[in-house]
Amino acid sequence: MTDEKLFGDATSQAAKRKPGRWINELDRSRQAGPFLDAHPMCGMGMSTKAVHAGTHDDPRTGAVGTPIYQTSTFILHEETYGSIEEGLGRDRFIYTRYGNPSQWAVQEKLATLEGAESAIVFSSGMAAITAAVMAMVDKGAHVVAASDLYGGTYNLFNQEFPSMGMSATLVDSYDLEAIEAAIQPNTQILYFEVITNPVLKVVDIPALVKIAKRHNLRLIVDSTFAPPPVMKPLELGVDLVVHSASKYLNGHSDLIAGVVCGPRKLVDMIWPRLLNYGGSLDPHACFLLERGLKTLDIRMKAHEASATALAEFLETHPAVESVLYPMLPSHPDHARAKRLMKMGTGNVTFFVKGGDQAALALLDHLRLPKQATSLGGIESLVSLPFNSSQATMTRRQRANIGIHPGCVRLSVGIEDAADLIADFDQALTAISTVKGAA
Amino acid sequence: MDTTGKGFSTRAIHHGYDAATHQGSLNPPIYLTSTFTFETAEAGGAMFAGEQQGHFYSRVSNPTLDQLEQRIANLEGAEAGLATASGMGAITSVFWTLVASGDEVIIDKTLYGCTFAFLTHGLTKFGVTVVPIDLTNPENLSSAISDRTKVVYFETPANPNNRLVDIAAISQIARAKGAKVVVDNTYATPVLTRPLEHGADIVLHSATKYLGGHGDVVAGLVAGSADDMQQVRLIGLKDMTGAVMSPLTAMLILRGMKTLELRVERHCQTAMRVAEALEAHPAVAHVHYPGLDSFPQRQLARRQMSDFGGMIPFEVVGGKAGGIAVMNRLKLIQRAVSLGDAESLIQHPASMTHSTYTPEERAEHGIAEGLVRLSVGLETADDLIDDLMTALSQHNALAAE
Amino acid sequence: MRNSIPTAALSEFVNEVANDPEEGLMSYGIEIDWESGTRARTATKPMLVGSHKVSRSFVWKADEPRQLMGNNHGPNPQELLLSGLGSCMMVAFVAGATAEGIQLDSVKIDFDGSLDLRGFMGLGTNAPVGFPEIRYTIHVSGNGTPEQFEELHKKAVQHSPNAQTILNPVCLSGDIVVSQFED
Repeated sequence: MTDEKLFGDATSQAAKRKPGRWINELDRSRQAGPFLDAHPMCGMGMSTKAVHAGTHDDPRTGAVGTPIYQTSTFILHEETYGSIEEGLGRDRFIYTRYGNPSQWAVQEKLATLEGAESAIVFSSGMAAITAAVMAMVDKGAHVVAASDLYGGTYNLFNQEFPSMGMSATLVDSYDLEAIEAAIQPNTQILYFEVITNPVLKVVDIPALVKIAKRHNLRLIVDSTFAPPPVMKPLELGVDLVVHSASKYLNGHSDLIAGVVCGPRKLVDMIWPRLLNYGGSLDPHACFLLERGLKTLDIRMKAHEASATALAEFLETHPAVESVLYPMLPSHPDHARAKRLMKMGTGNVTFFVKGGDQAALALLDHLRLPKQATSLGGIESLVSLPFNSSQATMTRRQRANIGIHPGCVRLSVGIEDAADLIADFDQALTAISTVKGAA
Repeated sequence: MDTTGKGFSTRAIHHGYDAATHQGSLNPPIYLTSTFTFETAEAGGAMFAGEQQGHFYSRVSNPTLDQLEQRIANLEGAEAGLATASGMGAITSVFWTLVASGDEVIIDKTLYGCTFAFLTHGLTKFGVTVVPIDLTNPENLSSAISDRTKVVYFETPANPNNRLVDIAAISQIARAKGAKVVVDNTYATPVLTRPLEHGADIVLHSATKYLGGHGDVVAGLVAGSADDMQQVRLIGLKDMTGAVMSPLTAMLILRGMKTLELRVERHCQTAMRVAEALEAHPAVAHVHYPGLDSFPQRQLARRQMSDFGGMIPFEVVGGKAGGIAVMNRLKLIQRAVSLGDAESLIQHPASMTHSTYTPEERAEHGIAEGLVRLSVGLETADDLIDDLMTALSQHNALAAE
Repeated sequence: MRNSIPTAALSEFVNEVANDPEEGLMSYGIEIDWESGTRARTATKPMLVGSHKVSRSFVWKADEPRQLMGNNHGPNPQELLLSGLGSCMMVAFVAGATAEGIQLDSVKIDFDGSLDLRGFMGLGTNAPVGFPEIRYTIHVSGNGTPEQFEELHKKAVQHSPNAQTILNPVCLSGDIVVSQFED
């Protein structure tokens, strides 16, 4: 036990001043972080990182696990005043919107899992996306993004961007030629989702990296559908990764959070956006997120196992038209999935015979999965794009992005595969019987 | 922070916390951990052997609970404190520590129903004699106490009828016989009465009530000498009840206690006005509020309490049926047990909190069948009075018919 | 933040460029369109910072006073030249002060330059076409000593890209693309 005074990132020091010298003699160089006490996790496995990275075992008491720093503000002292003056405010604790030990601990865990130098957690995935995008664009900028983005991100580009004098061109994320053709002189970023929703396209991230490099652009990807055990986009050359941490990362459907991971240089540029837009994550939510992350790797294995078994079952069922699961050979992107994804996830999309009416009937007969949007939680969730996520589209617009009648979006939880299969079997049988009778 | 000589609220906000040793965090972090790492195996062994200070397992101690324990100890004027999972956990942890088979416990006749049940039905099964007497008259204790008496236990004001016990007089008699005086101070809180200053040995609380103050946790707290608290921690709590508070709960109680004094002041102000309004109403038969001139123990109340609390037991014309009818006509005041919350709550002790007594015991212990118990919350006084007067005037009209 | 410059980030950038010189390569561009008479409109082109593009959506106009056949709709090219020179020296001066830990209260640079238009007009005298001399005065208040500020002044000029461009010969390589005007 020690009662020594603790202040922020102990390895972070101000640049030393040398009177009469020029700026070339400033000696502070950029380092990963900020971290409470950097955990060397090199060479460690994903599960080890998930459990240990970032977790702040309090040196004062030996308490195992990060304490919840449920505080709005921090006592100022010489070190913190100095950090503001020297421009290293991100490395000290000043005010919880700026940074809080509970945030830092989970940020280090997330950065380690993604193989990033730095990370910032936000109060939602959209807060993370907005801050990341706005940090990478300037007045008059243009963005090239996927045409089937998550609705919230689509609205950012479609509704907010023009109001701020910026613009976006939305392109099919399969069509690399169209993506390149959409790049304008003022284009600053490419923004894509690594696996799309709900038809689970596996986007060719390495090809996008090449396009971005060729045109001096930054590439931001939303990897919500492919958490680190599945894919680490930074290793593929992406500049920034964002997540809705409410999904697989937290995994328990009990909080809303977001994260940005990337090089310290870029994440430091995002930090002022966090301060200005205010989407900071509450310390208690940080604790829950950190807790959820400890089982990320083993949860993903369970999601994959149950989803694979269920997808294979659905594929053979006579009441099912087709199944989209990237790890099945029937998926159009199966080869790319095998190349880019280390494992499958819990997301399965399928089409029942008999269209949307049959899909509605199916949901009525399912007992185990809950009818709800969101995904990545330990409980299976099921929803129909036609009356939820893509309800504002016409039938033809839906068909254009691959949402044909009878489309069912499924987030397979970690329940026993046998139970899920039995439940889908009885529900599919029930709707087939009804149809037969009619 | 050194809070010696500082006022109640200052101590309730600052006592026992040094931000500089916690990353500068203004508020104490919540140590939601089950266990603690040892620097070396030897250090761990030394902690288990009691040779070295430190936390080793959260069922025994935890830094967040430690913070709360220091604070309640300071506010009660005690050497040490102890946090428990509930008020009943506090009571049982204390008794399991202090008594053994063959011992005798003297209790006041009027106690919270579950306390009464634990003592008279639970503890007696293990060969402990429990003697309920009327402690409002200290002479009753003089005649009942014996060499076997290990604990004298009471509430003041007592739940549900606000009867007071003279802590100093009782403590003097008990001390002379070597019995420990344990006081449930849930109703008065340390803002109004600090029993240890009057000679009691141990004070305990259902922190669910005024200390937490927001109706969002179940918790208990104990305060007393360092030695007693260590015994209760290592025997009653660790080995017998296991009634351990969660660190998250400790944080909420710490948070609640910051506003304890100002909340209690407001509870008292409003309760006085409500008690006067009730007393003046023709449909009300009796109001038991220590601040009223009609209160039989008003002299003791003025001597032992700095104000008169937020609890108002009263009886309406028409007995139990009348009381229940009035309760059911209330719109703002919620029908619920518990007390000390921001929300005003009302309940009927005979069928609820004190249903563990037989009707005969209730009659003997001064818990009238028609008594309703109002916990005055922090709402605007006029609104509470309006709600009560409306319910009572309808009652009046019905009674007149 | 000193002088509203984050010293830590400045230091990190300097060290990044020392390790990876490509990050220190900046490419700029502008386009100038003739509008009418002596008035022209300048727009910035996207800039490259290291290997990354930055949108620079800025536009301004230059014009000559009526006495010089213009309409006085904007600063003239000589004023813009002085502005470009002075703003650049200002950046260098403030960055240098920040690196040294000098807190600035105010900095003003006062520029004057005179030229003889006979050069422009080609009137066959010995008058130079450009500015024979540019005079400036830096008015500074802050917590540095006069000696420190004098040293800073020298360093700011030594490290100012625009000052050094003016002081040293620069290769001005131009082309012209002609489209035939058809009446």
